[in-house]
Amino acid sequence: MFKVYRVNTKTGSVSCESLKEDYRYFGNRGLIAKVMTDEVNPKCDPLGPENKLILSTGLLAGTPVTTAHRLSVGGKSPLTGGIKEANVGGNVAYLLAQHGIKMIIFEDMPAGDEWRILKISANGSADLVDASGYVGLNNYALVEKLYENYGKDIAVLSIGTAGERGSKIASLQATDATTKHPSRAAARGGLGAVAGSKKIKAVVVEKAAKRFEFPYADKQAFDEANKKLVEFCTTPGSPIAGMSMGGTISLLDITAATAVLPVNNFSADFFPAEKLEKINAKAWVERANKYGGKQGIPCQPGCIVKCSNVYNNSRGEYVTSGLEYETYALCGPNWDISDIDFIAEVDRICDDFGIDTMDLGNVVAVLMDVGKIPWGDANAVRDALAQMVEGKTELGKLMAQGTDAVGKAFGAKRIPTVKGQGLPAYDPRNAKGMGVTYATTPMGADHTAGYAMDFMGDNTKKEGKIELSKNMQTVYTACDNIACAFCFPFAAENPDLFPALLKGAYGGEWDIGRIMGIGAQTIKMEKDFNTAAGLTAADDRIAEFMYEEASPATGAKFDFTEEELQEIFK
Amino acid sequence: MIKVNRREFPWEAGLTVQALLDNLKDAGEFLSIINSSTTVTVNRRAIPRQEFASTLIKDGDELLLMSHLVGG
Repeated sequence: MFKVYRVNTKTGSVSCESLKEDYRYFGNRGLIAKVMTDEVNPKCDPLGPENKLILSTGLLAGTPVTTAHRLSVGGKSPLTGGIKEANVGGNVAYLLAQHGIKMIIFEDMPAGDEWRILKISANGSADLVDASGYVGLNNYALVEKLYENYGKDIAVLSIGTAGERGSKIASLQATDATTKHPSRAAARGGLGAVAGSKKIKAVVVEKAAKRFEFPYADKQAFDEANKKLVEFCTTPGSPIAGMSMGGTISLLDITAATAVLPVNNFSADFFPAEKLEKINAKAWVERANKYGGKQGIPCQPGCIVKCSNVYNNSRGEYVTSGLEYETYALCGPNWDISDIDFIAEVDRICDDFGIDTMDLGNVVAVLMDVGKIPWGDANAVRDALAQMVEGKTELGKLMAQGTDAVGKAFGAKRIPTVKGQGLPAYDPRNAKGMGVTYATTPMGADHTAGYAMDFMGDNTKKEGKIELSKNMQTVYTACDNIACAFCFPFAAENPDLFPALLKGAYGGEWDIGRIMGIGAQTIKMEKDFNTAAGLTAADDRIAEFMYEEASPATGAKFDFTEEELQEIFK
Repeated sequence: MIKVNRREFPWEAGLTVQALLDNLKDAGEFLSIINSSTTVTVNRRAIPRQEFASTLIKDGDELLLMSHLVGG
């Protein structure tokens, strides 16, 4: 049976229990919704003792299904004030599944200032160990020190000094399966600060001495279904096979052509052609493959999508890995910057400090918009980031509290957030389905909560976008219980692949409707939690300026009324 | 000249949608966008996949290539 570890950070006790029967058919995000619903007071202080920090693995974790080893991190968000799930690749969930661990729940808060690491040993036991020698380190140095002490056969989930200081946009970083660096981020919602409030610096998972055997209902049927999924993913010309060529950054060629790409703090204008040339997908692939850099690498063991990358500087030295479209767009064109090396440098700083690149992209864009940093000035950004990491100046401290905090402090009129969370890299006026998702998902502005791009129609028109977002939110929430967003939604277009896998794994009757039902139930729990936390329809709004300012490229505004947006919940 | 995703590319008489996609792929352009699910619009009109090989592109046409790609 799958194990759940419960860690009391006040008493230091760690107990083990079996996964509850009514949790059995949920994974990742769904498990977080279950625990938050059953155990957490929605009105609690996100950084207080009543909140919990939850780690969970997916429905197919422990099987060889590609991308089945996403790790979810959850709790009540200090950024949005609502429920939050942030998921991440890397090797942490893979090693947890080797031990048969489905969840780890951190509870309460220590009375003193003793920092700890949760260590899962090779024999599967879990213990809190002293972390005093690691406090004050950022993620890259921390992980190197952990490798020195525990060997390299470990996976690490950790916070940098941003999480230690309670930054509302602090991430938890997971080690990448290929590079072993802490370059994968459970970035959104400030859950790194929740870990920090419980004085948990890291979770270290040793490779299992004896691997947990997944209790297949019908192993042969499962293997046959998995073979079909592999064939689907690897057929030349399939969209999944293409992900290994330029990764998610290839998307820029589409968003730039449609004024969906954020430019100069979501101006909704086109990025000038001469700047775009330096940063488009072709330029990216050419630069990323230089100096020993690599494309097409997996971030988690067993992944055949292979959308990740390694980025080296001109001396052939590693800078970062897992540089993705959102970071690239929000810390590039959105700052009027078209220097790929600089964007990679920013990504590294954020991963190291342990902060969300997407929120930081919005923070700096707002600072540029109010004139505190000149547009396109990389050196001025470097200086601001150094202040943020050092945490001594007022500006540096403010930046780590997120986009709303910065915008309000400087009286900005253009603050691109929903529920306090910075927007992902799709302008809601020219990608209206995405805007509906940002406004209505319980997660705050989050593109992965329901990727509602209309690939066959006009994304600037509102017709059909409520329905599209509703459907996509269900698909992507189901996905967030099972596998990666770069595999499941494509594969779900074939209605037999995942039902056959789940039938082989768990038995019983499965069809695509049952799988989507898991997504719908998860959203219902999350929405109910947020309502009980005090969030209302008034919080389901896009940034105000997007209702008023027309896109210079298309003339579109975000023109959904509150009543229209609330239709999504009917 | 034609425009593909707002970028200029040379045009030649007899160029079809399919030939253009092949040429772009050979040149390393739009690599991850050109696949079995690519949508092509010419002057905002979507071209059915089965008509890629027979649809001629005219000088000055504006094309948009879209594919199911997800950001991260």
